Amino acid sequence: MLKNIACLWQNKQHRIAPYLFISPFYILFAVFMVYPLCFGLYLSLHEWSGIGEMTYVGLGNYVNLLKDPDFHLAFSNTLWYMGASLVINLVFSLLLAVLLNSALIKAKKLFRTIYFVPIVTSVVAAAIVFTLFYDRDYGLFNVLFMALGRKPLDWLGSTSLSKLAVIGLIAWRWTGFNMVYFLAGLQSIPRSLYEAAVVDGASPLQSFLKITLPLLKPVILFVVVITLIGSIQIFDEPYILTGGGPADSSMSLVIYLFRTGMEYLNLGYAAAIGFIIFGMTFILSWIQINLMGGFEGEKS
Amino acid sequence: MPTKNLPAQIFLHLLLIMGAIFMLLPLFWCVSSSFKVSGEIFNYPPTLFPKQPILDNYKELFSKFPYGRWYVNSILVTTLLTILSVFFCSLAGFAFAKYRFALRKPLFAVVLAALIVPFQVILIPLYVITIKLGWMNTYYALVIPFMASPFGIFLMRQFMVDSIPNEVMESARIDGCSEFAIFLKFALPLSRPALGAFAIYQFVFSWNSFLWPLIVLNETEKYTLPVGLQSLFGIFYLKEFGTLMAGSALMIIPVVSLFVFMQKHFVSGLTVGAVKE
Repeated sequence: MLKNIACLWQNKQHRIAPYLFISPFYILFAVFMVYPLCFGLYLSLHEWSGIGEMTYVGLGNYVNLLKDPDFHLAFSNTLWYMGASLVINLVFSLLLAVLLNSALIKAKKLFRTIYFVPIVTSVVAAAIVFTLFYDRDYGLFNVLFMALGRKPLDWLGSTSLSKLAVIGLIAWRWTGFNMVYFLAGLQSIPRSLYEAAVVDGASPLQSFLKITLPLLKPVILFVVVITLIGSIQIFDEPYILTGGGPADSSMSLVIYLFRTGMEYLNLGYAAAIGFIIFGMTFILSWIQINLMGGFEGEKS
Repeated sequence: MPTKNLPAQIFLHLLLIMGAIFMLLPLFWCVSSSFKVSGEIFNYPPTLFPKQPILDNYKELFSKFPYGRWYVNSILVTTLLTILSVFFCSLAGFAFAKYRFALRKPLFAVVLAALIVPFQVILIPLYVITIKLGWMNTYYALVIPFMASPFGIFLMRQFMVDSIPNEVMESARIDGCSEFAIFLKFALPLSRPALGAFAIYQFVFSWNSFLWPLIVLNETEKYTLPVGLQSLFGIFYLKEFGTLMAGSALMIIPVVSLFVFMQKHFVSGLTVGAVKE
């Protein structure tokens, strides 16, 4: 009898257990993710400074964004960051991964560790060191420039160079990170394919173009999308290095969002910028999911 | 095997070494400058090692600024967030991996969809909610909203599907083990690699997190390290670089050493779901 009750209880427990296990996660998720998302959408249709009444403006914030020169600047700067990050990843990260996957290279693990270290470093700390490097009068970069007989450059103080300075920091931090994805992809390509190519008399370049690139396509696509998404969201690097300046020349979309919300207290407008960022991210993810054939990669 | 080609091999190694020097240079410069007197940091030509190493920068950091307090704050927030999010995400991931229940698929699909939601879109509403909850300048705001990590639940589920044998769960049940005990006694120990991967990821993310703490914390005493260091940078611009470097070095070193020891886990966590085997 007692055993039967215990059995019943165990059965019941078995059925409700998964719901109990997921509930803390979903309560947090609903309160701090789903609700803010809905509230943000509502906010983006209003004008509000954080105190007093919200004024309903419909799509007014979005219409104003289309006409806002500061937003245009932030947008085009962000496109610069996206483009530059893409080049860095597809050139440096990919080449680095191919090198570190090659049988010619010794001490692979050591190199991999070294190239990966920047990503675990705090951006704040890294940006402070880079400020020192970029300094017009004493910076290491200019010291090297002068040693090569060139004139020193005002990296952080000139509107034409500030974005480049930010991109330098981005390259330093993210090259090794994306290298990891390429390496994982390269390691899943069977060595026998390359051996067969060598037997057939293929040059290393030919095997790279005919074997590596086609088989690496899904990983390349993945890295392209996460890079683009990551660069839409860029904030820390330009904010600390240049504060978005001079004259907003390095201001990213998220810096503009931050200023609009936190400094100008235009919360509805800032929320609308958030949704533009969301929209861009969504389109990229949608493209990726479609090109990769849905969530096929999931184990079910 | 490719034929041995010594000149090419030497050239490629030189290339890698040059790149490695570029990667390590900022870290080296940071540590080296933190022991230099202020004037030496801007010496021309620059010195690689301090001529006469001093500890003044470190002393100043702790005596003139609440750097020690920031350190404690950062450790507290990071540890709490890491432990709690690993617990909640593995618990939910376990349910998705090992139970068949109604709503399983749609609920998990919601998590996957959440992976593409950028934090910036909820930044402003979350800020308003934080004010409403009275959580400004508290660590609740830094910990609680991030405990439900879609990435964490995804990672834990992917791992637990294969690593926990159903037979083990069945025999535990026959022995009268409760479902939660099965989670604690079998699921957690068997998923140690994934727990480690997610814990390190979460630790590094939280330790370096800047934008959100910058918004939520505006009392100097409450700052975490990135916000505190950035505020010093604002005060010191181009002046006390030695102190800034000392602050940066102390902030970087724990995470870099953690990473060097645990990199296998960190990297395996990152590539879950990214690369099909």
